[in-house]
Amino acid sequence: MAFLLAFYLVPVGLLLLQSVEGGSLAAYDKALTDGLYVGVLLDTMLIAAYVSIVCLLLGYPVAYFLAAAPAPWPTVGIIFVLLPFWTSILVRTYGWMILLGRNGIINRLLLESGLISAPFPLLNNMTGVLIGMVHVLLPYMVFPIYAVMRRVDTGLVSAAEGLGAPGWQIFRRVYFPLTLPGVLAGVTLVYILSIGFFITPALLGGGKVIMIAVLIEMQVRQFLNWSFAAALSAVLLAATLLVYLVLRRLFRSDLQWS
Amino acid sequence: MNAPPPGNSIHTTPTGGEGDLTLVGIVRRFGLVTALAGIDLAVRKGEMLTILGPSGSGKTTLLKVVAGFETPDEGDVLLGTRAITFATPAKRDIGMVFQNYALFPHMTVAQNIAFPLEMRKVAKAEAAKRVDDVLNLVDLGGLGDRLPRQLSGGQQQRAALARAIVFGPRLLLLDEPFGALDRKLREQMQLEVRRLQQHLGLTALFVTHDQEEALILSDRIAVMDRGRIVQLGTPQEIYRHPVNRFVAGFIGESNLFQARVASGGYAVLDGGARFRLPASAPPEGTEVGLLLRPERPRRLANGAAAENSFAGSVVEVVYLGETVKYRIRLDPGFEIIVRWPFQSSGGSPGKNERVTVGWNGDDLHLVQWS
Amino acid sequence: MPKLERITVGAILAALALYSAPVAYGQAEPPKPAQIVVNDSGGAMQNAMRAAFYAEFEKRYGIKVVNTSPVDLGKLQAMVKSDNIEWAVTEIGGQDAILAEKFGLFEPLDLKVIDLSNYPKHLQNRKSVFPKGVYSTVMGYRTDVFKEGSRPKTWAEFWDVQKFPGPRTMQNAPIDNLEFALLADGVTPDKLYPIDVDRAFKKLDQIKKHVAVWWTTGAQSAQVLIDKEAVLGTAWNGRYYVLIDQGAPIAIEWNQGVMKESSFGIPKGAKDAYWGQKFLSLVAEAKAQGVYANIIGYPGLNLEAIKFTDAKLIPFLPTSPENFPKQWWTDLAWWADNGPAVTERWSRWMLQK
Repeated sequence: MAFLLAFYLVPVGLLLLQSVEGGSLAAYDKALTDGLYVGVLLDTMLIAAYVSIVCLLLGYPVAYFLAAAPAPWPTVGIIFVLLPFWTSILVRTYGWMILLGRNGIINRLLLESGLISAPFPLLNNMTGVLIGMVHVLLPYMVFPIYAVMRRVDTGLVSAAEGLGAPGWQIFRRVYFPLTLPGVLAGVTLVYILSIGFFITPALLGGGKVIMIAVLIEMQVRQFLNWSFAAALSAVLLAATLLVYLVLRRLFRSDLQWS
Repeated sequence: MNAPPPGNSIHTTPTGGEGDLTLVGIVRRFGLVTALAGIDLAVRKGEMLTILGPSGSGKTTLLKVVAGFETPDEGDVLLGTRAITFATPAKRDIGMVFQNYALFPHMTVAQNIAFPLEMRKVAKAEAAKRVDDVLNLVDLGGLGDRLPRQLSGGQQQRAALARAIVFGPRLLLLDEPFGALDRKLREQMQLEVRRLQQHLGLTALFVTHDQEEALILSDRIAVMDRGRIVQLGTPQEIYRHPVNRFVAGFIGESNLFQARVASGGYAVLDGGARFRLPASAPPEGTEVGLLLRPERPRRLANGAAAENSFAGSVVEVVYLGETVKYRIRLDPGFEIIVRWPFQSSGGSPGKNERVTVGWNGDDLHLVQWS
Repeated sequence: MPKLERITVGAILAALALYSAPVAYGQAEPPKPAQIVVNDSGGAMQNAMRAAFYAEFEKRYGIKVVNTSPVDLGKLQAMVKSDNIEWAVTEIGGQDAILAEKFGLFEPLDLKVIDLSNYPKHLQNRKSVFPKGVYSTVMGYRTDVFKEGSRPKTWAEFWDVQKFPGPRTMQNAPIDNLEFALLADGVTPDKLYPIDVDRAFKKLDQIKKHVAVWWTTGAQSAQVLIDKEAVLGTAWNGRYYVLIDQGAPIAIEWNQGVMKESSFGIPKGAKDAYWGQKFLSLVAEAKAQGVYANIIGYPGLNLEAIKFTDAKLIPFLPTSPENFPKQWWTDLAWWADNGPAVTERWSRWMLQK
């Protein structure tokens, strides 16, 4: 609790204080009405939602593999999932630039194999941003789900099977609901981390995808406009909390048991 | 003990008449380990048959083969006349109660019980009615909206049972279902399950390592050892006439002596003591096991005689309520356990007291030793 | 008027103090710290500065130079505000330097210690921003796409996608780009400021959809040409030089390039300020600047430094006799005043489809 207070509540309090510097709400007025900031905030939340969904679709099967495969595959798999953590974010991002570019490895393979006749635009647009962000954030989806899957009693799956459930019903009615706490933890984590993303979207989006963190950083680093930066951050924080609460509310009855 | 004892008819022709569940020559190997070495078994309609054996005897594998979680390498599983050897568990029409109940924690009790009905596409209203009925049947009326974790152990047990029987399965499988309950509750649940099974006329296969439980619950018991059924019979038959040392040792408490048949209707123990044998003794020189149930020996006083009698002293006294268990070291140098009714007015011997005990040849039961 | 008097007296005292400062320093050098912290932009720059400046400083004074990065105006401000100053000296970008000086985040330069006499005239009288070096935002192109004689040489030609087709790359910021747009639209360098922002954005509209990548980092600006994501672009001259030096099919067009100063400053109230002045004095030396330029390809502003520079490097320096006249200086003061508003407009413009 003291930890939470010292490292979370106090900074947030200071941030809020800074946002109303001089007793004025002008910073909030601008943050909430200016089309640029509102637009970028909504874009950011949309991108974060896309990233969360793609991470879930990719991460769930990976987590399942890690939880279910016989040794030594889970260990090998965990190393592969963790691999992105061991390289700097810049190296990873430049790696994607080499892979995804107009003359990148993927496009060259596709062109040479005759599958496409013109380079596929994978980089310097939204696609590039999503690929890069999903890659970086996938572990944050995989591990919460994996942790929950490890604890799922396989006897329950057998029980469902024995009670007459076909495979997809076992998944839909038993396995997936049992892993839902992990899914929500992963989605929340990835969503929140996505919202703060900065360098990856700037580099892989070719400058065309603007996320709110870029604008906040610009206010602090370039213009020393701390109060507006604080107001933007506060709005972002509120929006994030709102999404989190809505998510919890939507799945409240499904989580009651846990 | 590597082969089924001769002369013990546990083979049943799978006609579908007698056996509601029939297993024919089931073999299951895991690598070099043979978990099931040829199981033939017929469970009669409405019968509660218990598979009893220690861990590693193959009983769990057998249960999985019946439930469909394992496929046998050889042999067939028949439910009625229908071969289900390769059917998926979902298609078997078997209700199963798991060791830890395996209730779905995220569903209410009613949803749990409705699950098999839903999977069989029973109409909503009909399903609701059946869930209600079965809840009342297992004495859980009004608790349908609870989550499993909000129930006591005994209630969870009932819910699991209700879920296993609600869809009217052809066969009920019970996998050590009482292990998690405390003794008192366990005894109560055992009786309830037994009553329900008889009431509904369910054919049930019950797997346990607890011989006491098996004796209480079963119509018949199949004792398993190392992948084989070594004896099949009613609880009484199994208790009274175990076919070999393993069964004798596993079922009930017993004194078991290794001996060699000598002349004149006697057998000689390793230590040199001589026992009078029952009338139908095997030929001289045979290695036999002599089984003496603890309640058979009598205390001899005032010159009373028995065909076998030995003096000794009480080493240990254990009060079991109505009866008292004594460990007695007999003078020839071996110990026996006896169980006598408790006598209040000082009639029961105390520790270190000298006693003479005796039994007749017919009190001994001969079993195969090797 | 006693008030005026006091000010006058104060001014005289201050002047006296300033006048006698070198003497005072000479008499009572503060105790040597074990180390000082120089904050720089890291990477290749840091390696070059270590070879040219840090190592020499350590040798000369026996004080270890520790480096931090990146360069960050916000952090500088936070440090000075909280009076918790870690740095003796920090590198600072041109536009940020103006702001830092405006906000009083720097100690005054001790020009008795730091010798700027060989610097261009307009730089000799600096108050608190030390002119470390100069770089130029220039046009670069792939030589396998644009041959000599059929290549763009002006910003007007950069804008001409009919005559010089191919994807472009430009910095994801308004600075330089607004000026390039105006130059492309026919404005002469001496008439650029104050910038006609509306006109500049209107001109930028024409090129927008031909810009494949709006680059964010220096490394990215050049890599984009290597990867052929773009065939024509803008970058800081040193970024191109590194790749050209490695044999990449890239060339620089110096014409109409825009020069900016990169700077050093001593944070206001730094405990090692004395040694900061000593350090900057070393950085101002011609020989050290020559060593630096030879490694990184960016020159210092001591005009004598060219004597210590490799002949093969000189054509790639914005300060070379041939390149220098082709370029013009950015007006950092205008950018310091208008930066936030124009940058906000830039983001808005970016979001427009």
